[in-house]
Amino acid sequence: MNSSSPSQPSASKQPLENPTKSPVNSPVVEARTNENTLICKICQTVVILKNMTTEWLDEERDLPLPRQKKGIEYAQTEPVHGYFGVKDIFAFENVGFTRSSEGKRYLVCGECEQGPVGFVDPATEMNYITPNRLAELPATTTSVKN
Amino acid sequence: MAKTYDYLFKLLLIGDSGVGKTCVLFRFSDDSFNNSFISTIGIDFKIRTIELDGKKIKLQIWDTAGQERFRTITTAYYRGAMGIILVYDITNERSFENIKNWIRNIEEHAASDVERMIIGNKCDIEERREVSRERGEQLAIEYGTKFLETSAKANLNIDEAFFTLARDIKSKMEQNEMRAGGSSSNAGRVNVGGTGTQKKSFFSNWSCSLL
Repeated sequence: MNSSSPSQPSASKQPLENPTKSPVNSPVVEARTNENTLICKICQTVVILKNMTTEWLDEERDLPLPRQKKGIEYAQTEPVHGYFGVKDIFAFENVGFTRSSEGKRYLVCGECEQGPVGFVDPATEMNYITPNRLAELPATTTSVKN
Repeated sequence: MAKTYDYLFKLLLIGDSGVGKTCVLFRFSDDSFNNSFISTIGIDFKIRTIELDGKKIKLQIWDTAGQERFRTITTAYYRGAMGIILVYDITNERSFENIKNWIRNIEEHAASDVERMIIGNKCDIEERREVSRERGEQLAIEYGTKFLETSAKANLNIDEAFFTLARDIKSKMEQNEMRAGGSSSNAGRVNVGGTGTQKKSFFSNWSCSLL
């Protein structure tokens, strides 16, 4: 299992309050909430409202591609950088949790099931979603499809 | 963090395998691609948020995919479920006949006050229908449940089914609260602001799957 596997997140290994212990690398997890509501890029359903997450994982992880090419046995992935983290699953508005695939569980849009848009850290049970696979709703917009 | 919702309901989808509980919408089906990664591994459960009468309700919806034989589903499976959607496929007579077995299973293992609903799902074309709408309605009357025909593929009536069930659970809960003088019976009721005694274990002990 390589270091960029979603099943080996660093949240538990890099506590927020102790960044000085890894002088070479800057801390990969910081306390941060999502400034904007995150919606599905495809169906516009709200996945999580703004200010619901508690941390930011500033790291690259491999996520399976939403669409897989035919005739290839293994899951094709791509590196995706940056994830908002939240522990409480009910912090989400609309989200789906996949079954485990090779020890990893992923998050998808709760409406159209597009994704993965994030993953679950099996060690800490933190849920991480990436703005890279979601759209951000500007803070001023009030009419959202729920 | 303070709770941002009023109610939390756990719903369970049950029925024979292949009736479309797990029907996934392939919105981007295209010949050069396989089914998506997601449809291959499947979804365990979903969190959906709805609003009813100004109350924000979180639904946690589980599917029993992979464990469809009703004999294998026992008390632990139903624990905490406040609503159960029984699903059959209108193009599969056998799945309709089995609804009776599922209901017997619920009566044996689930909480006695669990809300139930019967759904005839159309996973295939109308020409292959084996179970008439009238028979579905009749069965629902027999068991005192609500009934809907849905199409998971066309996303028809699926949301309505969840809304209907959630509304029934909410009504029942409010009646119970009134009867209890608001002093107890807070199952599923979320204490806004985090005061009170929401049971931590209420939604644990679940290891099944979704929608």
